[in-house]
Amino acid sequence: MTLLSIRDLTIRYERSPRPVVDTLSFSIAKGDSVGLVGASGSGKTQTALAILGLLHGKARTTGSIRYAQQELVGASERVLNNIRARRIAMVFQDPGTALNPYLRIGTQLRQVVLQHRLATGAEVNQRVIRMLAKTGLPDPQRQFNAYPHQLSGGMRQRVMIASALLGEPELLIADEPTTAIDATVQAQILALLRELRQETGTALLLITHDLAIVAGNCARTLVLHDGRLLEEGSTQTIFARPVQERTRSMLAAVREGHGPAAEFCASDRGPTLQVRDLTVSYTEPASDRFWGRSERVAVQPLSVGIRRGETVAIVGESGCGKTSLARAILGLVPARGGSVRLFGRDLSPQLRGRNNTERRNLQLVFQNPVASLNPALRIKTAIAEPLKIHEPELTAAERAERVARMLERVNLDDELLERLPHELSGGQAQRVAIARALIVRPALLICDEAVASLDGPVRQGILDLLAEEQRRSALSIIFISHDLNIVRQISHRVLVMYMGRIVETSVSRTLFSKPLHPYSRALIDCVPVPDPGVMPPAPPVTGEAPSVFARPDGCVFHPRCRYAVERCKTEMPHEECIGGTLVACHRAAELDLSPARRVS
Amino acid sequence: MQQRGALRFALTRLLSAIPTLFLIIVLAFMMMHAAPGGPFDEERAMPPETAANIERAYHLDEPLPQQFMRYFGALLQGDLGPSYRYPGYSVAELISAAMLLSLQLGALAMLCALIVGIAVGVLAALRRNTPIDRLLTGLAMMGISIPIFVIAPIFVLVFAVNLGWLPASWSGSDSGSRYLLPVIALALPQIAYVARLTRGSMIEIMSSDFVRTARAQGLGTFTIVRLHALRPAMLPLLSYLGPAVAAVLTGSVVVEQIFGIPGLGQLFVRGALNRDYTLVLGIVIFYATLVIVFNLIVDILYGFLDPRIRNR
Amino acid sequence: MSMPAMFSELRRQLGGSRVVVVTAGFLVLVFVAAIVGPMFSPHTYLDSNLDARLIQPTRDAMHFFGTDDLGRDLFVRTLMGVRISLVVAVIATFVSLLIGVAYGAIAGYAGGKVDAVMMRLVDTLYALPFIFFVILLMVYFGQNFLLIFVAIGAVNWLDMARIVRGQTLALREREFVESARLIGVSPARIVFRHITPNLLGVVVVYVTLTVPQAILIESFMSFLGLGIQEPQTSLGSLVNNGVRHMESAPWVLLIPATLLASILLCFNFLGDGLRDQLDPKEKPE
Repeated sequence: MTLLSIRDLTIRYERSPRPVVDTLSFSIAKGDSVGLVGASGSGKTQTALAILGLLHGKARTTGSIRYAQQELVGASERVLNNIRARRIAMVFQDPGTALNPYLRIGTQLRQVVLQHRLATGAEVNQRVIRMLAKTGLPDPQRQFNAYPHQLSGGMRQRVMIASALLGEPELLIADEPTTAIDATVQAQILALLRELRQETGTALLLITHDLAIVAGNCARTLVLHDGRLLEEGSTQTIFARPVQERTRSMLAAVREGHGPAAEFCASDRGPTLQVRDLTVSYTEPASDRFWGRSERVAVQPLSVGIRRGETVAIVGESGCGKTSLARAILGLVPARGGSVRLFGRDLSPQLRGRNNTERRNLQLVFQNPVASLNPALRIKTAIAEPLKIHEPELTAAERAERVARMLERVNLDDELLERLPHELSGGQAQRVAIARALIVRPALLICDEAVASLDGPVRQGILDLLAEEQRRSALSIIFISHDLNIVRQISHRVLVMYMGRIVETSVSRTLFSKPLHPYSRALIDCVPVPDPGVMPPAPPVTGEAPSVFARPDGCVFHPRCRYAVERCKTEMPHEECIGGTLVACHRAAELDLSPARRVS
Repeated sequence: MQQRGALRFALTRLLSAIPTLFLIIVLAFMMMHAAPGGPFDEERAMPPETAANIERAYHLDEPLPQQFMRYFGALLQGDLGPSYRYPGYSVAELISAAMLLSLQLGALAMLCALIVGIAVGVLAALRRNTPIDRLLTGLAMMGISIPIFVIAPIFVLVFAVNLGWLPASWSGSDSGSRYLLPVIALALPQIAYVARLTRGSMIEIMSSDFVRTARAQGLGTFTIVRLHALRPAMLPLLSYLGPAVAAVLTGSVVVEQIFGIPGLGQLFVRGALNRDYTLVLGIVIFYATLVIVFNLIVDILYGFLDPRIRNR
Repeated sequence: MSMPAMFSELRRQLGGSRVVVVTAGFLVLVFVAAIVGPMFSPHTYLDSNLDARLIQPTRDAMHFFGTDDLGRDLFVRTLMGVRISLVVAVIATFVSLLIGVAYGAIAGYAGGKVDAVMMRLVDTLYALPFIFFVILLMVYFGQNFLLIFVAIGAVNWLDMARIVRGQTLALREREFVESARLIGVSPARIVFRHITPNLLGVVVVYVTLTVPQAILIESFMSFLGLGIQEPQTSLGSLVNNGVRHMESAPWVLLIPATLLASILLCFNFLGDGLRDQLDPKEKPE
């Protein structure tokens, strides 16, 4: 039985020449699960908002959206308000902003019950608390009275889901429900959605840019491109026999890539960078006293070396200290202890204490490419600027020549030279940022989530460019990422960080085939498998990384570790070398954590 | 302890208000004494010994730090010294006599500004980009731009002189109607400010993600405004209240002048023109204290109203 | 930055809208009239004709705005008042611009303790009922023309400093500044090459909002008799004079009052329009 039927939906904004959604038609049956996939800007969120009548006032919607026998396009607020939450509910992308920061969780959820007259009197609170418990929120009685900022990201998303399910809707729209949260928590949230759907029979419209998520969660898939429906079918068929070229390249991007382009041979290469016992800490106003500040240790003393031509990836959940480590190496935050040596010479912990050669040799590529370029500087000025500082002897003509050659290397057209950053696409801007970093021929390039804001083929292009540059100049790369799929493609060696410590250092291939630390294994299991035939496993870890204030005794990972024994709670494990892998786990030698299936 | 964040916030604010106030007192005192010529210089034909006597009586012969210590010591006991120009009256007496009327006018104007301004602002925000919104925002801009000393006389001209509905001056009537024009003149720019501020923050809140969530939950506009939007939209208003008090004080100087109201503002202008130094100094200190205390209250309220500060 | 580059940068940051064009046009018109208008009148602002006191606006004898209680031509006096207001506003704005931008940029870029101390001072000054201090100054040091500029500038720089500091602080944390530091760009070059050009828009907006404030303070003081002294005049003292005769000769009040209000209104609309262009949140989509 058809629940929702969309015919020729077109959404247009007054001043834009092209509609954001163009004659889109599809339907959702009772109990169905549909994945709506596409790159950012393909119109998937606009479609979802149109269903609930939540579009911006300037949007013009034509076509038809029918729920049961009710037409929703152009329906009055009164009609829509009876559909919203009660028939169709929505979970939004960012649970941090989607909940009102000024109201207690309970107040916000109670209102849904009251509005739709789902219960009266004391039943109201009971119903809310029951639903919170159902979404796996620990201690729902207490969280009922909490404010959103007192909850972690994953807990907030559970609250969002609870609020959506309070009205027992027949269709749940989830708009990128896990994009703003960590992979470990993503696995938990997706598992929760599957579980709740099984229980209630609610239909699901899952909006995502990640085909791998669709594989394990949706029976049918719609691929959207530039507001048009590109391809539609059962998820099985789409993955097995994609018709459209674009779908194929999207699939290729999530399936296993080709591994690091430059083969790395350890023997003939000396160290570029040597980090020894580096510690990073921040202070903030004390939370347990009236006065003074307390210290937050972001990176515990750790040591690592990077050799010429090597790519070392650093992975871990947000807040694990990977960015702090990179920033301390670069001198952007002063290290509290330890040393950073470049080609055997100690570097000053502060950027201003480093000379031009030292600065030149360490460069950074940021996550947000547009923000990393000065909005007032033209592209040619931005790329030429480092040359003016480090090779002042060049004439203007020589400089222009170098800029032109660099632009060619990063595959950009020279008509971009006169543009300003906001006139570039994300991928183009990231290429400019890379050009700016590489033009001074650094020894080490640090990429901090450099492709996280790009999707699909654009992301692949940047990764290929980095590999190419490495082959050309034996560049060392530190690649910070939360995405294991990318890490596997680009890195020779991987450091797994948890709460400011490195828990495992391993050759990339070994890590994925034979992880030694339970946390590494958990991270691997959290990566959604881009194969509709594989049932997603139960979430490998529960909960989220605790605040660094509440660093547990013993092994920092033991509260979330399913293999923890008594010893893990009291005694901190030290790094030991097992078969070429450095690991900090008491049980590393006895456990066999090799994944049963190869992720492919 | 749930509210430690707010308490800490309040305490730091309180501690920083004290040096501010002290600095202001020093500044005002120094300015008064740095002025060329003493307060009695203009008096012609004063024999030197009389002048010396007067100087001694007012301790003007002492070194400056000593004078300041004397003044500050008395100030701590609420004594602002004698007036130079109203013999027999102390500055504190003069201020307390004029204060009540000024505070009444100011409080009425602020009340008026908050009620009307918030209503107008919310209405304009909910009807954003419609003719109603454009009319209201246009009027608000006029309210902000037209100075009190322009609008007040025009009011008098229209409502008192031409139409004869309301008394033109304070002394011309005993009835409550004499409050009407001064309060409206004083309130108009504040109404405009409050309306613009409310409209701006209301629009921001109404387009926020959490309001979209509330709409997706099927809540009606009225419920959304009442439950979700009003409180966060009022917070920027709270921080405006401090500067608003200063603005109303400034405005009251003009309004009292135009309507002939024997309040603090008039006392101040007269004191300034007559070079009644102790009086002017006293009023400046009084005003400054008022503004600082108000800012302090607002800051502390802010800390308690925003859960993110309160439970930090 | 060269002038054309500066204008194209301004255009990028501020754009242009109908409100901006209309209000800017009106202001230019008024100021041109104030500068050249008096040259075409047979009267000067000093000439008083006791036989022609408080006459209504008329074309006779070119008393377009009528005359005041001393028989002086109001057309010329009003335009002179606009001139004075303009001069005061420009100089006071320049003073506040100079102090405010330097102070704000230094505090913002230095950050940390320097910033904390510098901004605490600004907060302290903010708490003062400043206008009363200006009045004090006027009273004690005499109604010195120059002092008026300085006093108003000294009041208005606080806003400018706060805005510039906030903006600098925000820019300093932006990735492109970090990127410049990593490349080895010197602090001075970062401030001038990377931060200042991005401040341009904000500063222009706040200048257009500072000018009306300066005009307002000057006319406020003149209205109280503490600013410009006779026979010199400003819009404030013209309004003051108008109030005294409004019952018998309302035009003496209404003409300068309307002009003052329109000038302030236009400046505020202009500043508001520019700010909307600058802040994408308020920009209509």
